[in-house]
Amino acid sequence: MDRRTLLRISTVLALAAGLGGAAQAADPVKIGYVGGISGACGGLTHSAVKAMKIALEEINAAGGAAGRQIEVVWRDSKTKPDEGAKQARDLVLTEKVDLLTGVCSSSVFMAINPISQQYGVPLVSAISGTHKATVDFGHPFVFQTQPHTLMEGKALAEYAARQDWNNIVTMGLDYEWGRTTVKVFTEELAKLKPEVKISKQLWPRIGETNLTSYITAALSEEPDAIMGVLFGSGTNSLIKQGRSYGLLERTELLTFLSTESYMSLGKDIPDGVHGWARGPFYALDSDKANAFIEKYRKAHDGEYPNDWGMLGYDAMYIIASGIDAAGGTDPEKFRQALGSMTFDTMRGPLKMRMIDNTFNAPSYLGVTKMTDAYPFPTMSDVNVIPGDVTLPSEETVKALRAAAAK
Amino acid sequence: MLFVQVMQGVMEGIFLFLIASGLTLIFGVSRIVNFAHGSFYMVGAFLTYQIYPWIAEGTALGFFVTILICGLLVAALGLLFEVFLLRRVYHAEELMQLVLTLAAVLIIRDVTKFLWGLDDVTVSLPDALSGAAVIGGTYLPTYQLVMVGVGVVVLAAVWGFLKFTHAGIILRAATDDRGMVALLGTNQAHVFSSVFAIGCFLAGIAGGFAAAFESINYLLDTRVIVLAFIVVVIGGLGNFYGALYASLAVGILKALGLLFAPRLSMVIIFLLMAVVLLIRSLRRTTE
Repeated sequence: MDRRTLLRISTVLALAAGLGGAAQAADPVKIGYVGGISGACGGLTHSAVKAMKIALEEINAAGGAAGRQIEVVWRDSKTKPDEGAKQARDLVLTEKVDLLTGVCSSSVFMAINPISQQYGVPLVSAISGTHKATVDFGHPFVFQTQPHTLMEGKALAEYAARQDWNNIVTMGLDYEWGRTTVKVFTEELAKLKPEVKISKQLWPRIGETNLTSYITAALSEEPDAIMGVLFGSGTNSLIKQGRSYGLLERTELLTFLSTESYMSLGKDIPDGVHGWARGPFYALDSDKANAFIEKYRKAHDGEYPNDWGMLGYDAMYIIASGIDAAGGTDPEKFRQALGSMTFDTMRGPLKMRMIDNTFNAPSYLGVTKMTDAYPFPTMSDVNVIPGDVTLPSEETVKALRAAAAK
Repeated sequence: MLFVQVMQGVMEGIFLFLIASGLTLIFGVSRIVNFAHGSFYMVGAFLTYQIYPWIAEGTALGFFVTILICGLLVAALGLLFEVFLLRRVYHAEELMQLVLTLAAVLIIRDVTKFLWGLDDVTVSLPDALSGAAVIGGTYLPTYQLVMVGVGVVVLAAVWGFLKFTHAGIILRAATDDRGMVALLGTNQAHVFSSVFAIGCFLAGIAGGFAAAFESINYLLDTRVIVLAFIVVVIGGLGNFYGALYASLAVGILKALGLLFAPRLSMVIIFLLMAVVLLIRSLRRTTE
């Protein structure tokens, strides 16, 4: 072998080695995010996106997951099922993402779920509430890191059973989330406290903001409490309009109150409303949560993260730790990894169970109060109802899956 | 109980009338289906949110002044839209007009998102208006009574205008036969522009009142326009008084529906619309 040949071979070898090394370093984990950045979820999701970006930066600065950097491709579902499915499919087929996350509305989650199943790409739902995707139509690669409707309905029943309420009117938004939560709440409460009467069930349409007729119809039953399953503008309208009907003097109100409602209504939320939430930043007093809140506020003009921001940040860390422990993005290894770990989240240590890939995420219930700590009211005396209490039993999961398979 | 719900329905109906009256006036004269009406309403709501703190936040007088200013600003915006854009498509086919007003919906929505963000915002009710008159255990909220009052004032003003003023006569004539009015030497452009501005003024003040009553966000435009169209269609397109009856009917039916058949209350309203349309078309075919 002459010198030139040797030189050539070694050049090729060196190049190959160099390329190989470069390819490995430049081969990030690719995550596809599909969420309701605009549309009905727009007011909730923007905080989740901001929070996930912060988590992403931290994770990548600390070396990424399984030695690889994480790259996210952001897509807007416009809170529409068909648009969400289109984006998810495109992320999987064109962008070749290793994993999907995001989703906000239940209907979009249900539309993306079959795509995750069909292509075997894990889907980690950060802020969607329906249990149907993981329980009824669950498959090995769909995960849920927040309390779903079955869990929340039960948490609400637990809380209502602790109060002195014997006559309740429910007011649930007329779609999946509202209907299921009211149904589970009613069933679970009947088990816990059979003497409670549900005297009326009202179903405002999603987007309806003049709720006065609903308020008077509810008050006509002279209930001890009204249980509202509304969000965003629905919750805001109920509280604002209820005030002039003396709603809080005539009955008690338990309703979904996540942080953005406190921010937009401010002092218009009177003291004494029973609220429920999924990730209230003010009630999570850990170093991890405090550090995040500070960072978030610094990056966004002193704005506080809403519940969805807290959930989004947690979800991004859960995904990264899972990939890290699985040594990559192989779906089955990823699932095994998630099932075998305890995650140190801002909401405390969380675990995932293997039967339906859901996390034992807690629900937060308390009573509103204006304090000096924030420019808006928050919940005081927060009851944390742990996920272990509210997760449906294995039999329930099996029964729901059998019914869905029919 | 029945009385409470009927009262409730009347109050909701009058508020609907505030929104729908402008839409039907505009259609009556210019035959334009103005999809952007809900957008002007939304702009009125956001402007109230923006301007109220600058005027005199917390006082009832400041609130009314704010709403008046917002109504005028929205009217000015509407006038610009009419003069520079809409006027050019009066003779185009309906589809073109539809595309133009829909484009306005999208543009106004994006500008709203850009200026005020995605979050819900609300305006605090002035304390003087946040109470209720309690009569024998029935709550009649002050604010809604005020809105009923405003509705009645608008109704009286438009009625008087149509009935007694020269401009009103031209307007009624224009609704009946545009070509004839033009032949008689009336400047149609002025008629169209002023009606469009008046309609937008009504949308603006309705939006201002809504800002303190509910929670507003950039999706308000389409949320409102659907209900407004239902009312306008039931009342007869372009029929001002029809819009009043339809608003009241929709408000009362919804409220009573909630009392007796909560699940069907919206269905009842759509049924009403279907029945009215059916009767109207049957009458047309028999004539």
